[in-house]
Amino acid sequence: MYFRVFVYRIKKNLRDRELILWSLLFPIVLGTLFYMALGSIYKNAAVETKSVALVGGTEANTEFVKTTLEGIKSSEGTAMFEVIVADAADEQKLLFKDEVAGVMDISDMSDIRLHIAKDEVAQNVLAHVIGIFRRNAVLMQKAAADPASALKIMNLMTEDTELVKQVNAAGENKDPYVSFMYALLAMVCVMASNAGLQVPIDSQANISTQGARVSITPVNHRMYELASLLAAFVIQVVCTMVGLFMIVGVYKVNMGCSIGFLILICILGTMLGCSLGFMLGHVSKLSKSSKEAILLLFVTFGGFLAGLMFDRMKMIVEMYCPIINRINPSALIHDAFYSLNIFGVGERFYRSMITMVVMTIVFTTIGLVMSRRRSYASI
Amino acid sequence: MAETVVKITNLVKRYKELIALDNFSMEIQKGEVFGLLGPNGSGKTTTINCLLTLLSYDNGEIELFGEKMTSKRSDLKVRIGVVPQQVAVFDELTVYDNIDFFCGLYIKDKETRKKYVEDAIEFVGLQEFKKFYPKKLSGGLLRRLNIACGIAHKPELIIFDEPTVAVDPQSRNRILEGISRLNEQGATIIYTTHYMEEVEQLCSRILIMDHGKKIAIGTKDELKGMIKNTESVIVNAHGLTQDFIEKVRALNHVYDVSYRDDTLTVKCSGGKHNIVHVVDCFADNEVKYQQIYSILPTLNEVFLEITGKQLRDNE
Repeated sequence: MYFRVFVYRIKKNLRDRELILWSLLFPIVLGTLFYMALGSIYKNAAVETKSVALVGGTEANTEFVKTTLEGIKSSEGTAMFEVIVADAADEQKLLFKDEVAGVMDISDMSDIRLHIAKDEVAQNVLAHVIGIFRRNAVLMQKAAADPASALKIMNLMTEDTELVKQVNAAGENKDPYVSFMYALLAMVCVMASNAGLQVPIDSQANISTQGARVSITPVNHRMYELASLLAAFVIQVVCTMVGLFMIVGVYKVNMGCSIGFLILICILGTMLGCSLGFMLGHVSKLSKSSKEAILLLFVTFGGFLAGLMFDRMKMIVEMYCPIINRINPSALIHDAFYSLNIFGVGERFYRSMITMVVMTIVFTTIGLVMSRRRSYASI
Repeated sequence: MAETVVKITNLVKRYKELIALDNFSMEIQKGEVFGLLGPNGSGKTTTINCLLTLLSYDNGEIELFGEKMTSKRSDLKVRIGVVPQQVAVFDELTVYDNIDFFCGLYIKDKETRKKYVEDAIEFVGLQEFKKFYPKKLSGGLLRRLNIACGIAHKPELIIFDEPTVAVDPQSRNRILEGISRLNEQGATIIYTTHYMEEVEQLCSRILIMDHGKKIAIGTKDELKGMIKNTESVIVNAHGLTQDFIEKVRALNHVYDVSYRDDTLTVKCSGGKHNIVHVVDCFADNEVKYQQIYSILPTLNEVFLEITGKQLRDNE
């Protein structure tokens, strides 16, 4: 019975021109616009040397850090950083005029501080370098306290140095404009929420006449909705794949990671989008149009916060309210693409993927719990 | 003794301050075509929605087929078919697919379902429109599709909630004939409407309700017997004198006479051949008339006399 529901919901969704049109046209039209606007600069530019300002350090410490940073080179052999020594008072000016990639406060070598205004490759490398500095400072203190362990500690420090090199070489496309394509795909995935929302709309007696008709049948309501949600998911995955194909296959945009991982992120992202709509459709007694309006607002604002309209927005959110980036579906999907491109398969990528899966399960469960067969106070 | 299919006892439903159903009770026996008659807002659809457990209610009990009806009683739901007031089909599925989809929510066996769907299509006369999408159907055909989706699984109790609203006369007749046939095939029917002529044509028993209360219940003859007026004689005549009108008023069984715009209306209570007595009165007094005819009371008059207002308050 529920397989039939699944099949008929597939049929219904395929014939839902509005839904299909938005799901397909959005990535195709916006992808084309991005390509036309940014295509000419879609070349993997060589890594540019960025300036880094050092403030607050002693002469010896400044020289040590300067030598270390200037020694970091890209895979093409280009020096990544040019170091300038500045006063702490000039920090804000340097950052906001975009004269330096970051300002390192080295007044305390065991607690080096990095101040940045952007979140790009150079800043991420700097952050890793500081991490190494901090760990090495601790290791050196241990070695001083326990000379017998000095050799072992030296080995650990060497391993860390290798790690910096590996991370540095992980990314394939460091073009900042690829970020727009990530945000676009993220939004396509989240827009699958419209299909998810349609499931409760078509099965709740207080929202639609079809829902009333379904509600008086003897079917298990949750199973019915689950079959409908699965059908919505399948259709939306196809739509997302068409968008992905346009970007990767037609416009040949280098997304910076393998197609297998791109597909995996798109599938999980679409699942998250569908479950988001499914949950929002259940959590209130609002009318169909009100629910659709809330979802549109949620998706659009989420896309804005994830940097679809303004590329630095995600960074601003990260600085002032990072929790939003951890729970905003658009930001999560965007981050999965970004971290895969810049750092490869690692902690940050796994964090994004696991969060997506957990949120999908939570959203779907909330929706299913609320979809219990019920009598309404008014319909 | 006939089996009781529906039993509603002291049902109370409130929407904040408004009492939609006020200690409403009714019983429907197997094989009946039971008419639920009342003006818009009288509580007909609320009663049906409570019966189907779509609406929660504040007090009272509902039994179907002798058992308490709750939202979890799938075994009872499978025996009910509903044709809702508003068309409830998916625009994206064809006529056949819509009927097959909703029938499939009741019938698991593929072969049985296929046969039932074909039967339903034939029953409502949509054979030529199987592959049409609902948007391509006229209002009448859409109503027929709505009916087919509600009856395809061959339920024992079928609820029609104002199925002929905004339907052309041809489709309306077809729908009413179809309902009679379903009843002949053994289904118990609940038919809600505010069109009294449909109720008179279809229903074996009628319940009149207003403001969520039962006003009267019985066969149409029993209901008409509840009111004073049993016959109205209408005469078109010019220039009748007051003396003559008083002579008409003095006839046996006449309880009210009015003369307006050359039309004399003579209302009678009881008695037979009242029109003959009126004709004789005109002849005896050598008064000429253009036209004379008799009208029997309608359910609207029953409703008017009991409640003091017209049944079709929206028309």
